[in-house]
Amino acid sequence: MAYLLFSLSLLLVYVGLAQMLHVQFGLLGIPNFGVVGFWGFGMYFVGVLQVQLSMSFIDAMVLSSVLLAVISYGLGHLILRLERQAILCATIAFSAIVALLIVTEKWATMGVVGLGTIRYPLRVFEAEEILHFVILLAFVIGAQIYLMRLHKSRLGRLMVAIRDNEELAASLGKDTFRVKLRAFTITATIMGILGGLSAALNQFLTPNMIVPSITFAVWISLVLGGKEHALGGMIGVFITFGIFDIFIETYAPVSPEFAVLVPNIKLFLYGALLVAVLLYRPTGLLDRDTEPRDILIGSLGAIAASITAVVTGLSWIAKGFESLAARAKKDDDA
Amino acid sequence: MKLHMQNLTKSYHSGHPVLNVPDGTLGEHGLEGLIGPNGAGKSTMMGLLTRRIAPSTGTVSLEDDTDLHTLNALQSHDVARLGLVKTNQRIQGFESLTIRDSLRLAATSHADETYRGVLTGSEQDDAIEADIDGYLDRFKFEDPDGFAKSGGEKKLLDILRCMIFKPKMLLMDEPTAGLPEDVTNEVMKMVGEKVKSKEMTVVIVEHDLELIWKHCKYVHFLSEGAILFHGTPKDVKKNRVVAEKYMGV
Repeated sequence: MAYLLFSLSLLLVYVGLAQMLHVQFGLLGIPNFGVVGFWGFGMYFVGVLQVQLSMSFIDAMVLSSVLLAVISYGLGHLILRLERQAILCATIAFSAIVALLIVTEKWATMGVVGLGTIRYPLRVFEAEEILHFVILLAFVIGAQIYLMRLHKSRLGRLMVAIRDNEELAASLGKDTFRVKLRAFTITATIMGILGGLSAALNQFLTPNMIVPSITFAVWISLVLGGKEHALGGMIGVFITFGIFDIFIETYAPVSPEFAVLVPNIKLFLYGALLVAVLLYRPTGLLDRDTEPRDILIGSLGAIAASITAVVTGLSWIAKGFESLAARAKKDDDA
Repeated sequence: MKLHMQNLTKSYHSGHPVLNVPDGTLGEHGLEGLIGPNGAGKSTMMGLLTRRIAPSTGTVSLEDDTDLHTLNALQSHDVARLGLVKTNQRIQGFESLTIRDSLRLAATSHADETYRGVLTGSEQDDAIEADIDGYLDRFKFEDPDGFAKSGGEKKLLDILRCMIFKPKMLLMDEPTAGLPEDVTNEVMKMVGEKVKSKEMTVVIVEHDLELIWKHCKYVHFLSEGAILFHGTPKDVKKNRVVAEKYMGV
């Protein structure tokens, strides 16, 4: 149960990151390939302030967010006028710098030894994990409601216009750079806040948590779910992280000797699913006009189908290995 | 609203100026035309005036009823906010926005596009909706609630976007290219009305000389980067330089 709660909390963190990336890339066309940098900055900064300086969680979070907002604003100023490829490289570089600093600045981060223990923000008897989950849930639901309204708002319309044709939007009196800079600063800072919340969730931080695969997981989720739909990121995370990481890794009936294969099979299926979506539905599972009713029906169907497919597939593979093992044993006996 | 150019030049790597205007004013006569052969520098001039292109030397300034604004330090959105807007020669558009949303975007003030507005709800602005309905009644689109489909519709939408923005001065870069004749006539009729009621001054860059002679009060002739002659259509038609360099007589 505790592990499920942890997994679900982590799932919510991924949903939050995908929501922010949706604003950056889906609405504004800013290809932020440094998601893990902003998330990791928030996570480690909150951790360091709490462990090394004994700050309270809230103080640490506020300080970290202010600092990250300043950094994101500065970074945005440098890169948001550039071509998309340049933004992509710059944000990757940013996340690499964060990851590197975490390893080298041992006086603060403890380097590869790891940093701990980070306590939950709300400490109420035995319920702190559940409370933390509720905080994350409220955060994600709040963000989702805001996103859905954003899509129908004037600001949302302006963001889409900037993504489609920035020069034309500017010629109609829209300060496109300012809109991008603000949105980038806000969403990057929220990625850091999600990082801070993850610090409490992980309790013990090590540099190998700050890896590009987190960025890729969020991107895959968003592209899979539909980058232009308000719910795209969330649906994408449910499918990738929800089904594969939580359901299959934890609950699928795989015999222990083959469990070690599951992460590889997972990666393979991620890739296969992504290729299939890009080939047959380049906008992602949801395009920008998909109705909520269709999403519900579609996602229930998809979840059922993929669980069945994956479980069947895994059991076939398991059977295959068993028969291989049996044959090998037979050969040995002979 | 008037546009002044002083010592305005633009040269690329070679150093030879593609545009060189020691002194010039556009917009004194309500509806003006700017003509000239291919490569004369018409599009460069348009780009310089709206701050899409940075000049090599010189200044561009915009004179309205009260002030003289120097445009050199401004970005293109600032220029638009002062009231100077340009329609595009090549087809431009927002592919994810419907015709109505595209017009709403142009008509909505940037001050209303806020994060707070997302929460307080962006109820429709009745004045803007009425404006849009007016334009869509006058100009027929195949699917007015959907997307602009043909090149002609996109071109027309580009012009309407500029109109609904309510500029004080409008530059039109080859407005008729790609538009059917009846739509062109209707657009020119509308432009004429707006100029007559002093809502805006208009400068048209056009190869279709018949249109220029028919509608413009004043014509500037640009060739090899310089304004060689300007005057009423009658004077320009009679001018020998224009005849030699452009009309091939």
